[in-house]
Formats: sequence, structure tokens, C-alpha cells
Amino acid sequence: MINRKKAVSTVIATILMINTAIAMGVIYVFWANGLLGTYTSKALVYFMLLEDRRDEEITLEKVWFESTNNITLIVRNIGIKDLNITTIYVNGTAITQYNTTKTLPYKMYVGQRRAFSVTYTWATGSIYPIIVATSRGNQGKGEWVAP
Amino acid sequence: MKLVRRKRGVSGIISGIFLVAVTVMIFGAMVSQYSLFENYNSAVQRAEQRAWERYNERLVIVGVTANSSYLNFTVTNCGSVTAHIVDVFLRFVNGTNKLYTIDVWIAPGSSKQIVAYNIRLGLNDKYDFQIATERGNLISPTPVNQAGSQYYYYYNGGYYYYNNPGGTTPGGYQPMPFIFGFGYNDFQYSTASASGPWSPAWIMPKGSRPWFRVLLNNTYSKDIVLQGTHTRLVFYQDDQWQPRQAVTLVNTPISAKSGVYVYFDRIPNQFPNTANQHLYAMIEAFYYFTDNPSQVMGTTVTILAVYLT
Repeated sequence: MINRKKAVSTVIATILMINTAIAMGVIYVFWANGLLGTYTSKALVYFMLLEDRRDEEITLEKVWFESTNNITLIVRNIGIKDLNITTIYVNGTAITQYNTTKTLPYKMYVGQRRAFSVTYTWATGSIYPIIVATSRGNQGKGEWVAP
Repeated sequence: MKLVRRKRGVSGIISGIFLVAVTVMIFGAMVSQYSLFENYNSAVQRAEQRAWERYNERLVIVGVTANSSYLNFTVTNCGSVTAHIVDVFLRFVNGTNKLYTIDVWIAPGSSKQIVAYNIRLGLNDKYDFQIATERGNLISPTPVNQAGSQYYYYYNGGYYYYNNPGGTTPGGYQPMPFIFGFGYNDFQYSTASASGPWSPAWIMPKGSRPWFRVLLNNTYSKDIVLQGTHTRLVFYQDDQWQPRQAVTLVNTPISAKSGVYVYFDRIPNQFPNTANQHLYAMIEAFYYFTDNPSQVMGTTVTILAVYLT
């Protein structure tokens, strides 16, 4: 019996150990690969978003205070990526409707210029901060004095 | 014994393979990371390049020909990048705004007359305008000689002029007609008498108490009068800010588009008796237009540099 307890031969023991080592190694490699893969893909998305944001640029060229409750903004995409205008802020008020019936977001192509007519009651001589915000978080902004 | 040796040999190979696999993975991750950083840096550089170009795009509208039924103006590119003018914004006196598209390229250092045949002006249209470039810069015409709280170009079939409905103000639109030419003899002194003989005052004798005269040009289209007593030539020593003032004793008229010497009395105290003493000089000018003597306006004209020998 004592002899049989020692009966797992050296060969078997070696094979078992090698198999165990290979299995653990494979598991480790897959785990590490998955971990790195997750990290690199997240980093890829993060940097792609940053890049896109950097390549996007918008400018608020001109503001016309027209009838007493109407402001027209002339916006130009001066970046190298198409962009989406999601919100226009006039004096802190978020506006998503323009040209009477249309609703933001509005997609602007590279180099495109577009007039947005928004409804807002303004007063002569008052200063109005105006911001045009994009989906990537960029802004075209400025302050205008109503004539 | 052979098996024991083989066991070591196999596990060495396998662990070696794993080691290589892990190293490759880590190396791959590093390369990927480096590539991401590199791409992001390129995006940053592109953004900075665009910003640089935008800031270095400088256009000046040097002339507007308003006696034309089309918008007609000349633009000079003073910047270091080629400019592409894409928009024209017109604003009429009656409050109407219009936006037009044009397509004009101007190389650095060159000028171009732009006759915008798509922008037709009606008789007696009063308007001002701005142009916009592809990089997002907005340029207004430069007012020349005249100013007011508001101005417009005026097409009346043959002439144009600035309409100045608001009159002059003490703010940024105050007319500033004086130009000092910085000529060798434009700034003179005399130690003998109020009538000369005169010498250039850029370098003056130490310890002296001279009279002065300064050649001022009135570039405005109206006659002006410089007020006596209040108009002063003020000297500041560069190590102290207690000025010496030389005053004009009489009113000095300067006709439109001409220049005259403005005479100043002796300074009340002599200059320091020290050689190589440096002084700054500035003219405090108080003036009025002959057609409106009750509106006295003040300005500083220039800063001159003087040293004593």
C-alpha cells in the first residue's frame, strides 16, 4: 500500500505538471490579452474623441438683431470635420428651434456657412452672450450689443 | 534522470513561449499607445496650425468706391497667409441686413479691387459692410480722416461720404486730426528768444531753459484752433515723474489739411545741469473746430525723446 501511494509514476506526474502549466499559461495569456485589448480599445476611443474634437472648429461670424424677438446667427464650420450643432444659447437660454419650425441638431459640413434665425426677445443696448455648441463639446461664442 | 532533464527542457521552452507572448502583447500595447498619442499630437498640431493661420490672416479694406452701383472696394492682404474672402455682410441704415457670397483669393502682400457684381446697390442706399474669410475672420473698412458714432457709405450716383449722424463723442470716435511728422526740424528749441534762432530739439544743452516750437499737421477736413495756455509741451525726466511744462500763450489756428509750427513758452524751471539726462516729451493738445468753438476736445499727440549734452 505504501508502495502504491507512491505509484503515480514520474512520467505521469511530469505530464500532469506540464499540462497544468500549459493550461495556466494559456489562461493567463488570454486574460492578459483581454485586459490589454480592453484597455487599448478604450484608449483608442478616448483618443479618437479627442482628435475629432480638435479637428472640429466653429465660428460665430455675425449676429443680426432683427425684429424685436428675432436674432439671426451666421455660423461657419472652419474645422476639418463635419459637425453637429446641438444647442444655441442666447444669454444663457438654451434654444433648439431655429428658422421657425426646424429643430436642432443641424449637421454642418466642412466649410459650410449657415444662418440660424432664433426667436428671442432682446432689448436695445443690452449685451447678449451667444454660444453655439456642438455635439463634441466645442463652442463658437461671443458677446453682442443689441442695436 | 532523462525524464527529469526533459521535464526541465520542456517547461523552459513553454515558459519561454509564454514570456515571448507576454512581451509581444506588452510591446503591442505600447506601440498602439504610441500610435494613439502620435495621432492625437497630429490633431493638436493641425489645430494649432489653423489657429496660427487664422491669427496671421490680416486684411485691410483700404478703399471703398461708393459711386458705383455695385459694391466696389479694395482689399490689401497685410498678413502672411493667402486669404480667401467668402462672405460679404451688408447693413443698411434702415436696419436691413444682407449676406452675399463671393469667392476672392488674395496673396500675401498684394491688393485687389473687388467689384462685387452680385451686390447691386440702389440709388441713395446708405450702408456699411464687412467681409468674412474662410478662416472665420471678419474685416470692416478702415475709416479714413473722418469719424463719428456711426458711419455709412452712401451711393448717390456720383459721390460718397460718411454720414455722421451722431456727432463727435469723447470716446473712441473722437476726431483726432493731428500728426507729428518726426522730421529733423519738426521739433525745435531756442535759448535766445521766443522767435528763434531755432535748432532741432532732439539734443539740447544741459541746464538750459529754452523756448520750443513743434510742427503739427491738421489732417482733418476742417479748420481747428489749438487752445493757448492749456495746450502744453510736457517733459518728463526718465528717473522722476515731476514734469516741466512749456505752454502755448496764444490760440494757434491750423487750417484743414495743413501744418504750422505751434510755439511754446519757456519751461518754468531749467533742465537739469547733467549731461546725458534723458527726457520724454509729450504734447497735451486742447483744440476745437472753428465751426463749433464750444466743443473743446483734448488729446495727446506724440511722445518724443530728448537728451541733454
